[in-house]
Amino acid sequence: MNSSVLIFLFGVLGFLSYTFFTVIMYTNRRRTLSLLKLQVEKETESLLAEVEHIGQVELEQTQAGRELLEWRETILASRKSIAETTVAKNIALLRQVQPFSSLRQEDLRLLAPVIQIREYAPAQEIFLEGDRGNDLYCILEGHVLIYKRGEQGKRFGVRLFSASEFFGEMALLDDQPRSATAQAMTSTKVIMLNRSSFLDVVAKAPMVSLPMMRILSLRMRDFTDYSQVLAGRHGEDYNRIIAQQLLGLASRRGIATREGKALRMNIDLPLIEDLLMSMSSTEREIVKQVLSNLRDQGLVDIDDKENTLTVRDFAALFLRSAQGGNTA
Amino acid sequence: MSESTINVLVSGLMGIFGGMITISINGLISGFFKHEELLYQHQLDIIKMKKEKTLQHQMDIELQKISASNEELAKLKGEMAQLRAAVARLAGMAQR
Repeated sequence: MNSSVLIFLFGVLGFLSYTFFTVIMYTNRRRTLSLLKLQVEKETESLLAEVEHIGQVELEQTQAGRELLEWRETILASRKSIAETTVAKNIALLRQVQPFSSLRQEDLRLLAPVIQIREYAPAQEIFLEGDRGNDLYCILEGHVLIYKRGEQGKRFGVRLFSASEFFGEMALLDDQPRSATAQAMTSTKVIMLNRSSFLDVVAKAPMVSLPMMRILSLRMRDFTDYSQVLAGRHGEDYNRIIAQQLLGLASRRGIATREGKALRMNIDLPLIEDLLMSMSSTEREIVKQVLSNLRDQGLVDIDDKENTLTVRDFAALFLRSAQGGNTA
Repeated sequence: MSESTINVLVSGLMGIFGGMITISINGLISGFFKHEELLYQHQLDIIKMKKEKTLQHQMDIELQKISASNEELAKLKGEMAQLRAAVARLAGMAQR
């Protein structure tokens, strides 16, 4: 073997062994650090409890006691400042979501300490139909599909929610089991608000619930339209059903392009297909076929490279969805 | 220069540079961990000192209690001496 190759191999071997030992060292020291941190927290808590147990009146009688009181004040002040930072951060997050974005600062200050942030991986279920849940979710990042299972276990999409929207409000208001399943379609980050905390805040500041009520009333209107779509499913006319679902999606998720007439969807094509499949309770092949027909008719543009879909003419698609016509 | 000499020189240079990079990266990582460890260690030391302060406080309180009882005792002793003197005076008067 050539000596240059041998030297190169030795070099690679050295690098690998160095990386291996560095990773082990890093892991070990991180573990030590986290143990130390835990110990510090535990010791601080036990000392604080001891100081509380002795009591302020008795502590003020000695020099050592007064020093302990000073120490307690410092710890409590630093904790308060950390809590203040968290509240400020949470207020900024609450401003990003629909039901709370228009609230006053003082109302947000009531909500900020009680919210929690959760993250979900793609395809992970957030809650299941029938679960006893009492949390409201507001999406910060990602998309969440709400679906129900049909008689034969077939998924039936109800609605897609994206960043800044909220879901799970029914369990928050009526304390009943979940009426549908929520699944993260992409990497999703949400704000979680517990029922009892929310009701406490509403009791203090009733205006907090007003924007939510407004959105719920809009959703009721959407639901009426959706019922009409379902009522119009004569003979499984997928051309019409999928066109109607696409119209609904475009009206909510479409971004107007420069030409004005066209609406480019702000979600990826595979996700659009998933949604149409789920919301029309049909197969992917049928969805692909219908979309391809719509493209041939010049109603939509599909860019396979960019993974985007653009509704070229919203009005024409509306007419098409009203007329129907079987393709599948 | 022969090929083997060049190889030896190249490997030597690689070793020197590799070693330098390794030492600096290790130094950075170790420095970071050392700093964090020292911070936590310092906090633990403070807590230990404060625990000693609680003991000191308890001891001071006990001392205060003892000195208070000593004062009480001295007072009682004084009263007792006065009583004894009064008893002695009464006994003297009775004898007379």
